[in-house]
Amino acid sequence: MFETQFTNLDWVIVIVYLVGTGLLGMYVNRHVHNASDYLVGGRGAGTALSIASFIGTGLGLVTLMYASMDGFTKGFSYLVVPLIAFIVYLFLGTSGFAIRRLREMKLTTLPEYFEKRFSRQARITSGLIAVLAGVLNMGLFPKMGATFITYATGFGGEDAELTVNLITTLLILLVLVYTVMGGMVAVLVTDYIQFVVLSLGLGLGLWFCFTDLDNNLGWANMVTTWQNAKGEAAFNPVHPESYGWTYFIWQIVIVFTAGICWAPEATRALTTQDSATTKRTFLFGAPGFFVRMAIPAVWGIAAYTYVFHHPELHDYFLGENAAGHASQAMPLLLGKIIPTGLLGLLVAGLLAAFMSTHDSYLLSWASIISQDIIAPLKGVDKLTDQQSILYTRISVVLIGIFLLVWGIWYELPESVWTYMSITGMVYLSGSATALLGGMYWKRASTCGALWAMYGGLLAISGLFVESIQDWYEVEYGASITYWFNGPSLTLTIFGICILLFIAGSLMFPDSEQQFIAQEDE
Amino acid sequence: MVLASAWIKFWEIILTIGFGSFAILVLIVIPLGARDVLRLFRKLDADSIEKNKPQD
Repeated sequence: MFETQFTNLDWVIVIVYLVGTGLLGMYVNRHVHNASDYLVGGRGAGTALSIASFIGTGLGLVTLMYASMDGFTKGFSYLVVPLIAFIVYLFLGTSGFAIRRLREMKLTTLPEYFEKRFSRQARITSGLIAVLAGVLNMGLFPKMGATFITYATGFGGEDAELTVNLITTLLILLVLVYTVMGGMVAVLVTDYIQFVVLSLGLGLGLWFCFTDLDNNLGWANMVTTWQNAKGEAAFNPVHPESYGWTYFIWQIVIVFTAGICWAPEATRALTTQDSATTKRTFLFGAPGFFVRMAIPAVWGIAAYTYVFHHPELHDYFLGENAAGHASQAMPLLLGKIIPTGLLGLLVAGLLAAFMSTHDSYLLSWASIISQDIIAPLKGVDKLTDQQSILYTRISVVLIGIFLLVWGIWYELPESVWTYMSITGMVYLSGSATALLGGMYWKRASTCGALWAMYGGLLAISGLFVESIQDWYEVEYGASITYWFNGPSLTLTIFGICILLFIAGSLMFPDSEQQFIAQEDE
Repeated sequence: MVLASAWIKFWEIILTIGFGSFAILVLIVIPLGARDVLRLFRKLDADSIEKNKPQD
């Protein structure tokens, strides 16, 4: 039932590819001469390389997994999320809203902005919250990557948990070695290679989903299957049985604020040659941000169609005890419909994508720890090059250890995208408010920024929403899911952060001296 | 049913535009990205040589 077309030949392809990419990462290390080279690639990335890296970072195996999970459970309706991303990045790229100013300030990390605009305390607070949210956010990445490999290679099954955990451990070790050795130059170069391989791999997967009529796939079959199974809710994202309006608005807020101040993506705005390149990167990267979620969503839609027409898989994926199995459907589908050899190439490309996302994320959060937490706490404006690289590397390893523990012990939720949106809001709701408010409102003060950032911490409560919903139903016999859920809760918290920011700024304005210093910056 | 058909058509058009524009982007970025990688290496090495030059 879980066998795939993955053979020894595919393993050879995967190993050769991974070893080759690893060696390349080490080779480019010889071009790294100082901390700026290590952390922001010497700010020497041209437009095409920036676009490739920008898309390569976002186009991780994790993205493919969470988008396919929602495609599998919600159908075509999920395509609204990539559509929002497409429109938001087109807007940012054409207007240069916020991102142009960030690049012109020549920052190394985003929290640096908060020191230049507000105070050192704001920088440290932002750094701490960014790392907390970011590390929680990527907490499920390794497990999802391991789930993909397990099921695409035919190791899947009802007792595959140990295999998934072992592969999780191996993947984390691999990515740690790679990130610690290379830094941002390796990230830029391997992101480029990942971009090339993955663009071909995504196209390949899509081709089989649209043309494999023997397995009841193809556009017409997918549409008919979903229409029969879920009716209009499979296509209309605001349908009450689909995501609904609150979720729709929530996604606009998240995608917009993440584009501006979610470190792994926004760091790309800091590494370009100039602000014009930053704008072009966002503008031309927009199709990539659509495709990175839309293609796997179509894979998920195809996986549902496949399972629907294969009775032996019906119970496992669609039966009463199917909860938690959505993540396994897409890798199993690819393993079943893509021929040997091509499957190896695809898995190698996706594994490389896994590393590409991890190195960017690890480096982003680790540089915030070294530059925005350790340096200010040591009372120095700037760490030496050696200190900077050392602290970043130590932080990378510590985050890796956390990922290992969290990845193995935490159960995958039904929608990983919702989990990631909630954890992202811990940072985004406060910091995006302070960042945009600081840029476009002269009276914004340090106190307002700090209050907004602390307010964002309330979003952690979003992780317990399902438990509270269950408890309420048991205790009072009524469901509160409609009005009390992750999106409504975190949107409310976002509103609270804005109010706190305005109130703090009006009640405790910055002193005249502080204001003059900021103006000088 | 009519509404569902409209949504199906909508997603068909969006996917065609999205996948089509990405395909064009890929064809442009692959060769130009390779050029940028080589330029990046040259820039990093040149910057390092510049920094290490003895001051007069």
